[in-house]
Amino acid sequence: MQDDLYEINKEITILDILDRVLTKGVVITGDIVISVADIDLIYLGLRVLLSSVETMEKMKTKI
Amino acid sequence: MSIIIYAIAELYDLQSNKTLDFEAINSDSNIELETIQFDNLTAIVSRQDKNDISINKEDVLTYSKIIENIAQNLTILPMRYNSLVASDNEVINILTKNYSSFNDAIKTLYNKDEYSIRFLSSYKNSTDITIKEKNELVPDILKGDSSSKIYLINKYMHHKQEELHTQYQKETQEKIKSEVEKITTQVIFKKPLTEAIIIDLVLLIEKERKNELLQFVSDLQSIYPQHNILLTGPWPPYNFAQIKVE
Repeated sequence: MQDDLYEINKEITILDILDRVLTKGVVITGDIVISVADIDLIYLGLRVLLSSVETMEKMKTKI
Repeated sequence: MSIIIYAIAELYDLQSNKTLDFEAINSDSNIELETIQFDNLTAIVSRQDKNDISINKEDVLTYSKIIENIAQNLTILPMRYNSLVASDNEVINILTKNYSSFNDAIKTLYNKDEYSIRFLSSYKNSTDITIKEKNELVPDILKGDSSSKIYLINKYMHHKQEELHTQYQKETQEKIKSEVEKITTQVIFKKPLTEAIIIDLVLLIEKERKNELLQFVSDLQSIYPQHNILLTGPWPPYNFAQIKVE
């Protein structure tokens, strides 16, 4: 259970990091910030988040 | 040759800081950090031979780790990944042209941390429509057993479900807003990335008020037991330093 929670939190934190580093903060105008590879990266993160929420819901039911 | 900018900080804050250890960050990341100054501002940078930046998860995470390490010791304006310039002069140019906005932002962020609060829930848990409700909601004109009617009913119910979800989100957000403003007025409600997130907010709070925030989140969890509430942070103030520079 502890391991599962650790994994879920880790996945969500990675999504948070990517979201912040790639889309927030001070940005230089004219800079090409997001490439196709970045979008894939974020999209992958979203899917991870979705699956972790489902896992969380299952765990909630078990408790 | 190009220069990667990680963050902007105040020079005095950097010089008077006793705990920031650039050497430790350098050996941890294998990247040699240095600073470029203009008046009371300093840009924390590194140099590289190539003129572009690699886009892969590992490098992005290394970049974020460097910024996080610096932010633990200094008030900084974190730069977005891929902040690449050609020369020292370009860095100084950025500091010069944006001198006021950088100084104002650093003042606003001084001694504060960013946190994120998310309400997670199965969409069905909070706004699922029961069969009884479904019978009441579907207009008579749509009722029937033909395949076209069933298609229309499904479309209609999908729309209704989305409507209920949005309404629930709005109402919950309003309630949370009035509560969270008791501990800070610097709050941004973000558009949830997925339907599984009911509320997605970031806030900026003084470092010494961290315990108040923890208590606040704990109270929220008691009020909303149907949701998993996630608190993450402290983060470098990415969401509160969204400045476009020339």
